[in-house]
Amino acid sequence: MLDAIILEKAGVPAIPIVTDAFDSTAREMAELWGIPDFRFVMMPHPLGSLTPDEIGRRADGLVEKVLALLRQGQPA
Amino acid sequence: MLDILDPTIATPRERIDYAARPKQFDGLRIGLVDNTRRNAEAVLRALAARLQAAYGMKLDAVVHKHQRAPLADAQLAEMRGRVDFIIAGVGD
Repeated sequence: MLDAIILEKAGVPAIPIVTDAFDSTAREMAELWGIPDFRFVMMPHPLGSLTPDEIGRRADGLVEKVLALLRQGQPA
Repeated sequence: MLDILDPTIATPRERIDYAARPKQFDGLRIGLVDNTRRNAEAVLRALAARLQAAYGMKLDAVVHKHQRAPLADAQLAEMRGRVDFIIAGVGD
């Protein structure tokens, strides 16, 4: 999350992906940096135990979310 | 005299001039920031592969960083001007 904030501040569009277990942590990070409305893409938790097939399916589920946030951007 | 430290003081809201968004997706250059959590890079690369297949995007840069460390200045410099957007993650 912080990386995406740093990148956006540096002028690079950045799409952060966070697992749902870290939803509140991500929102607190955004709040701490003074941008409480900073958007991110969320995916199911956990990640560490996934098989290659499951990783592929997770990636399938992320494509449209990433593109939507890339298109939409962050709130002004 | 007693000093009281209040950790709940709110951070002032910051206004950021966000980077312009691409008008189209075709041929964009992707950068990945991998936070080195287990399977994070695999998910990011699988996602990039799908974007490449669907929109002819190109994976142009991948940086790896410790999950609890922010992006280093050198890594940021590596990405700027080389990619059109970055996908960063993944928390686990």
